[in-house]
Parts: sequence; structure tokens; C-alpha cells
Amino acid sequence: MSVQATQQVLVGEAGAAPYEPRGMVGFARDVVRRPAGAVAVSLIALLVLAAIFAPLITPYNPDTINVANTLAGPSLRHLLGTDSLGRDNFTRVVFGTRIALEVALPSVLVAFVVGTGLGLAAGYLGGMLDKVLVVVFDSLISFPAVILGLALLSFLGPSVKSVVFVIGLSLMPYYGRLIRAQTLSERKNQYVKAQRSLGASRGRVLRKHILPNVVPPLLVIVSMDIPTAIITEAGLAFLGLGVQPPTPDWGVILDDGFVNIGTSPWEIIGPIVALLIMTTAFTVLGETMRDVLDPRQRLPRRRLFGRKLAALDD
Amino acid sequence: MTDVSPGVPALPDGPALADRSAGAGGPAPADAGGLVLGIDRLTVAYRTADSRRLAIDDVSLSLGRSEILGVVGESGCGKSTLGMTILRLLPPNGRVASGSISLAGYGDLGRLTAEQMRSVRGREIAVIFQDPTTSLNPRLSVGAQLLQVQRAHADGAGATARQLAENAVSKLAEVGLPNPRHAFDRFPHEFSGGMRQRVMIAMALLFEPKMIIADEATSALDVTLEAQILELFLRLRDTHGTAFLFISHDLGVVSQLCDRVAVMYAGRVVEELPGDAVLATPRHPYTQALQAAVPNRRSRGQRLATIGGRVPDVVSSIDACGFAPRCIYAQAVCTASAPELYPEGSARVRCFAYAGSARGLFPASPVTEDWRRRAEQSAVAGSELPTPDPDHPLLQLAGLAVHFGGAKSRFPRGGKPVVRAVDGVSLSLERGRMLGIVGESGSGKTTLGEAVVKLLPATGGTIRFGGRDVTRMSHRETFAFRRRAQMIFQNPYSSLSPRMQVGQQLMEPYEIHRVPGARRRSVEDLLSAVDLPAGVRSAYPSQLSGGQARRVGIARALVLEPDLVVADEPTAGLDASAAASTMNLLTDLRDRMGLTVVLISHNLSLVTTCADEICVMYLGQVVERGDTATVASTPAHPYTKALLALAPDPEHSGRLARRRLLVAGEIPSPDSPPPGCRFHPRCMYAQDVCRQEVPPLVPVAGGDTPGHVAACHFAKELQAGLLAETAAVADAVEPAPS
Repeated sequence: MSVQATQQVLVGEAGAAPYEPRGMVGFARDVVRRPAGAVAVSLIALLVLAAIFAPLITPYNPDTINVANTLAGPSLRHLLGTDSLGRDNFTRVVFGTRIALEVALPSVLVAFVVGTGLGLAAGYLGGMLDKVLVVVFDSLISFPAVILGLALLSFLGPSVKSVVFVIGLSLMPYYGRLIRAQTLSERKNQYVKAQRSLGASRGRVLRKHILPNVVPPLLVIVSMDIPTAIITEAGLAFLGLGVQPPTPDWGVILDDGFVNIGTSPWEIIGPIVALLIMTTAFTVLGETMRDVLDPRQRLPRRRLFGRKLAALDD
Repeated sequence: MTDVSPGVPALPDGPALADRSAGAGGPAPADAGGLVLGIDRLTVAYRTADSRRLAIDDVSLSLGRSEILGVVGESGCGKSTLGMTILRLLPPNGRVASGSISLAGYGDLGRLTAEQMRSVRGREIAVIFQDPTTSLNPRLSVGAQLLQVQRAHADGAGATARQLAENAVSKLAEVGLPNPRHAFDRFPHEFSGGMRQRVMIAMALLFEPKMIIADEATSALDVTLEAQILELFLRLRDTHGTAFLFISHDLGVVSQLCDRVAVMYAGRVVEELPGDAVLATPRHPYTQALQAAVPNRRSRGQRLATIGGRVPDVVSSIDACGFAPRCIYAQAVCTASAPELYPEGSARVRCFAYAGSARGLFPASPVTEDWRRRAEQSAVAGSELPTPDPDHPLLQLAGLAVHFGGAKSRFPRGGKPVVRAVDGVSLSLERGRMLGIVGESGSGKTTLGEAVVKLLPATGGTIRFGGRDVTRMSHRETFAFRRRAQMIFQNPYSSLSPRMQVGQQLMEPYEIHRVPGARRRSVEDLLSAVDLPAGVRSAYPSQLSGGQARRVGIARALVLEPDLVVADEPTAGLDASAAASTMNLLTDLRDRMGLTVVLISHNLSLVTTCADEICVMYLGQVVERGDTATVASTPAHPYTKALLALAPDPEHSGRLARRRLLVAGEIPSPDSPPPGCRFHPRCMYAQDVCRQEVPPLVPVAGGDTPGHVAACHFAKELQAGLLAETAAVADAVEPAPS
């Protein structure tokens, strides 16, 4: 009890209100104030800027072939050397950021929106709809993303749109299931009953009360799924099923560089580092958001593992 | 952070550690008599993100063999911290700043190694927490958990599994589990709350510890079960000489059980007095204020006293009386220096009004009445009220039934039994009156309340609201009905939308019913109607204190200016003062605006203080109903009589041991109510006719009390005091866990 009291923000009956409403702005500020959050956000900003201003960053065109200068090593003119067709590796990696974001962001967004909608419906309305949706979610999850991708892409034909669709479809059921479970547990809370007793309709309760409570925890997963989407996209491209050459895509570059790995290892370094930065940044951002969202994590944590037990005694 | 508390006293740390603690088991056992525990000038501080907070400030206490020491105070006064400090189970941000705790036979507990301390926990000092549900592991049988605790301590080394099991069974028998051998193999969910708490007590008794810390151990239980558990504590004290540290927020309970009581405020002991004196002659203004805030049978029709302000966060030991800012007697001296504990009669009081030198500064000795008088002065005069109209009651129930389950299953034995939560309730309530519905948990009170506001469908009978049958309303009529009948929910936090600011929540009812802007009241207006500052509008529910969240819930229920409000346990989980001001608010609304209130509570003292009419429920049925004054003074049903007897009474503040245990056992499951009178298995007057014939709810003779009805074959005899107790009822009638 006493510890609770230290965490609770209490106010004097008559005193001025020290309430600090924490909307989206406050939330963002709390994230950025943490060192990890600040680093993650800067890295993501860097990548986004690179994608937008790609033509200004490098003097080359990612598709310009220069047969005279193939498989060159790193130099001041070509920071990461050139590939088997003489294209500048660095330029292609920078332009690849565009494809990565163009695929990852919409696919996660699609998965998130569709999954949230279906999950809310399944959890709140229940009944037959719930049963059907759960079966749909579970069947989709039972396919590994790449297998599902292989099957669908060979049918749809490889393009950015179909890759977005495939990745979105493979991520969607996870969101659906999570939102459904969250909705089920929120639905039991008395505030839902209280809203009903005020005369609120189902739609209103869902929109104004349940939705704001089930979505924030999911932001964490959204952030952590963006790297998954990028890697899946690069994986599909690597397998030749995603974005097609000569598009400067990280997966395509990796595929190309893999052939020449013995003679010119420079080509694969670029996409690897880019993937690493992107994955780490979004994962760290997700973890920071989780820490900020979960008040229990705000307690001082000093000891780790086994020593925590001993700490109780000290 | 309540989850820091380990589920089980002395959680087993694995066999390896247990073996080592055998060697380090410590010195000889405790000395024969005298003190068990001595706390000497203890100060405990919590480190928070940006500051330090004193939870315990220079507390000295002692606990003798077979003594029951009560610790009372509002939440945030350091009571629980005291218990956790004794066990050295403070959360990582808590630390003993100075002072010491010594246990007989061990000396200073602060000097023991972690392993020695582990052997002290459970073996020498056991603890019982409030919530037996989360304190037991749902995956293990009760017996397995009892064995585990024993094996964790070295005693297991010499004993066979058989002996350990026998010990566990004997403890289960000792705490009054009906069939201990059977219970040994059961799982926690198969027991009722009261029985689970008994299992926890059995676990605490395994090693016959010198002392048991009971941290709000009975707070979650019904009064009837609470009385049984308190009785059990007294018996254990007498048979084993166990000392108890009984931590509670409830002045009444503490006065019934404890030999001595320490009243804590803001980390300090402000008064130490004999248990008998807690309600009879409290001396410290804080103790008196707490007493005045608790309803009792003599406070009928009065306003309950409240204490302004709140328990302060103590950052460092202040050189003043911590209670001074809230005290009605405060003088200059109170904020100029810190009072000590001055002896006064059998008590010691930390108040300058009892200090030899400063006594003259105070006009008179503090008395509880002053707080009550102040409360009466703050009452609001009633304006023109609707005159009660007995012919056209606002609410009229006829044979209302709410049954759950009973759906047929395709599989044999797959169907669930019908739970008759509310089973034929008839009553009527006039406009501007407050009806109190009392009963233990499981009596169907809340179900009844939710059916009245149409949150649950009635499966039988009618609910007439202003002449219209609520059960037959169309969609559109229901929507209109929601404006006129509102509910205040039991849990103030979970009934508020967690991610919506208070101000917005209060506007929601207007939005839902599309009330035009001109006819809306402002958020400030709505908040001030429930005595909340305007600043609360931008708070989220988690930022509110329990009392504030409760008020927001009330404010929201009143936004649409309903005619009827159903208040479900409006004081649950609140400190005495906050509970008192919540009830004052409800009675004011009735007196000032003519609001009709259905007050649902398990607390009969509260209901008799505030309500105009009482309806006592048992297993889904009304057993007695009538005017508050009549029911309270001449109860015509043994159940009502028992509930009344269990309420603390300042003028008969005696020890529990001297009183009769009027209700044995627990309320049976509503899916299989007993035949005949549903109360007969627990009734001390039960006779053969009670076992066979259902008593009708009939007017109690006496003519002068119209509307007083009771369902007892012997109502008349009971009122006249002519009934002889039948020997049939004893501790043993508790139902076996199914």
C-alpha cells in the first residue's frame, strides 16, 4: 500500500491542480526524453530524411550503368565501391531506403488498421462472427510469412503493391488476435457497463472508450513490426519474388552482391548496415514506448537477476 | 507495487537454501514470557523518483506474548510499511533509516543474515494478507502448498512426508475447515473467500510462530465472516500464546479484538490506548475524528463527521504535530513544535492538549462530539422537496427474479445449474427517499440494483418505474429511461474510462443524449456539486484518490439529473473520512434535490445511519423490510438481528470474546438454496418447521409500524425476546467445500 501511495499523484482538496495530462504530445516527449528513445528517434529521422533527400545526398543515379568501372573497391568517389554493372553501391543503398519504407510503412499500417477493426468486432460483438474471425486469424498465422508470400506472389506477380498486400496480410492476424484479447478483457471493466447505463450505443462505447484503451499497447508492436516487414520485404526480393531488379532495393542488392561476395564484399555491407540501423532503431523505439506506457517500469531498477532477491533483504 | 508482497509467508526459496538455513537456524528459541517484539525508534523512508518520503517516523512499539496489538489509521499512514519492515520485506526503494526491531530469541532483526531472516519468516513471524485469492497459488492444492512451506524450513529434514501432512491437516482442522482431510487435496478456487482466508491462517500456523502479522486480514470479508475470523484469532491467542500485530483501517474491528491499539498518523504513533478504550474514550483528536466518521447505531439520521484535507506526504521529520493542519483544535503551539506521547489515564497521547504545560492553551479537552457537531453545522438546509406520495411510488418491484445460466447443453451434465441471484423480490420506494439494501456478498444486492437500472435483464416479475414497466420497454423507451435512472458503480476506478479526462467524461452523458449546449451545466458546476475542485477536470482517473474517483462517479451519474440513483457500495475501499463525506454527499442530494436513492451496502451501520428504509436480503430474497428506525430497534428476523449485533457499538465496546457469535457458517450458493427457510442452516433459533416450510414475507404484528414485513416463522417471538437458542448451530455447520 505504502508504495502505491508514493506513486499516486494525490492532490489537496483545495489546492491547485497539479494534474499533468499526458496526451500524444506528452507521450512523445516522454519517449524522446529517454536516452534510448532519443537515439532511436534520431536514427529513424535520419533514415526518413535519407529516403526523402536521396538525390541530394549522392551525385549518382542508382540505375546508371558504368561498364568501365565494375566491382570497384571503396574510394572517395564511390564510398562503398560499385557493383557488377558499375552502379554506385552507396547510392543504391540510400535509394533503397525509399523502397524499404514504401513497403514497410503501408504494410504495417494495413495490418494494423484491418487487424484492429476485425479484432474489435470479434472481441466486442462475439458470437458467430468471433468464432469465424478467430479461425481466419489462426489459419493465416499457421502459414509462415515467406511461404504465404511465395504462394501469393507467384499468383499476383511481383510488384511493390503485391508485396505490401502480402506482408500486410501476414501481419494482420497477429493484430487481430491481440486486439480481440484486449477487447475481451476491457469489455469486462465496469466503465463499459457505466457507459451502457448512460445509454451509449455499442459503436460509441467501442470508438470512444474501448479503442483508446486497446490501441496504445499496440504501438509498441507496430514499431517492432516495421523491421519485420522490411526484412520480409528484403527476403522476398532476395528470393526474386519481391521488388524486381534493377530497382535499388536492399534485398535486390544483397542478392546481387551475394554472387560477387568472393571478389567484392563491399556490395553487401551497405544493405546489411542499413537493415541493422533500421531494425535496431524501430525495436528500441518500441521498447522505449513500452517502458513509457507501462508505469510499473518507472520504478528504479538497480539489481538484476538473482541479486534482486537479496535486495529484498537489504 | 502491492505485488512485491510474496504470495505465501516465507516463500520457499528452493531446497538448497532451506538446507543452508538449517545450519544458520539461529540461537535458542524465544524466552518464556515477556516481550515478543520490540520496535525501537524505527524510521523508514521510501526513495521515489525525485524525492524521499518518510513512511514511518520514529515509532516505538512493543508486543508481548499472547498480546493482540492493533495498528489503525487511514491509508498512507505507514501501517502496512510497519508490517513489511518487521519481516524485512520492504520494496527495493524502501529502507530503514534508523532504529531497530528486535525479536525475542533473535535480537536485532536488522543484523540477521538474509538466510537467518528467511528462517524467521514463517517460522517465528507469519503474515496473513488481505486477499487470500492472490496469496494462494491457484495451480497447487492446498495441501501441496502447506507441505511446500514446511519443506522450505529445516523442520522438514527430520520429519516424514506423512508427519508433515498430518501437521498440515491438524492446522486446517484448527482453523475450522469443516473436513480438513478432504480440504487438504482441494484447490484454492474450490473454497469460498472466508475459507481461503482460513487456509492462509492455517499456513501461518504451521510452525506455531511467536507472532502473526495480520495486514487487513478481515477487510475483504463480510461482517459475519469477519466476526468468525476474529473469534479464531482470539482462540489461537489463547491456545498457542501467539501474539498478533493486527493492522486495520477499521476502528470498530480493532476495538473488538485488540488488547492495545496504536493509532498511526503520517508515520507516527499518535495515540496508544487499550482496545476497550478505542470507542469509549479516544483521546487524540485524530482518533476521535476517525470515530466520528464511522457510522454506528447511535448516529442514525446524523451527518457523519469528516476530516478536512488528507494525510500529508512526510518528506522529513517535521517539528510540528502532523495532524495540526486538519485538526479542529489546532493552536499555535501545535505547529511550533512536535508533541510527544503524554500519558493520560491508561493511554498515551501525542497531543499538546494532554501535555502538562500546554494543556491550558486549549479551551477544553477534545471530544468526539465536537467533530460530529461540526459536521451537523455544515449540513445544508432542505428546500422545497417533493412530498412523498405513497400511492404513486417512483419504483415498484413485484416478484422480481434474475436467474443466470440454466442453458441446456448438448452434452450430458454439461449444463450449468440455474443461479437464482434474485428470486422474487417485491418492494416499493417513494420519491425522495433512500432505501438501503443490506446483506452479505452473495445475497443478490448488486444483481438487484443492476436489474433496476436495466443493466441486467429480469427473468421474472416486473419493475415499475414511474408507472412504466422497465422490463417491457422498447429500445427507444430504454434510452429515455437511462436519463432518469442512474447507477453509481462499486469500483470507482474501473467504472471511469481510464484514458479520458474527467471533464470529458462528465460531458459524455450530454453527448450521448444530444443535450443542447444551452441546457448543459459546465464541468466546473458539475464538479463543485460533488465538492471537487475545478482543476480535477483535466485529471485522468488514475491520478485521482479513491474518494475523488468516487465523487467523479457520482457526478457523472447526476449529470442528466436522474430521478433515481442506485449506489452500489459507495463507501467500499474508502478511508473512514472519505467514506463519511461520500455518504454525506448522497444524503444531501436526497435532502436538497429530492433524489431517490437505492443504497446497496453490506454495512448495516452505514445503512441505518443514512437510509429511510431498510431491506435485508438473504440468498436473493427479502427477509425483512421496513422503516429504518423500526427495523433497527425491533428486528423481526434473526438475520437482521445478527447483522445488527455485529456492528460495533461505542456503548458496548467490549471484546469480541464476550459476545455471542450470532451467525455461523457462510452464505450457501444461490444455485441450490436450502429448503424451507433459506436461512435456517445458519440460524440459531431454527426449529423443525423452519427446515420444512418457507416462511412468507408478512407484516410484523404491531399495527403502529406499517410496512414492516419479515419472513420468519417466529418474528413475533423474536421481537419479544422469547426465542430459545437451539443447540443445532455451532461452528461445525459450515458447508463443506463442494
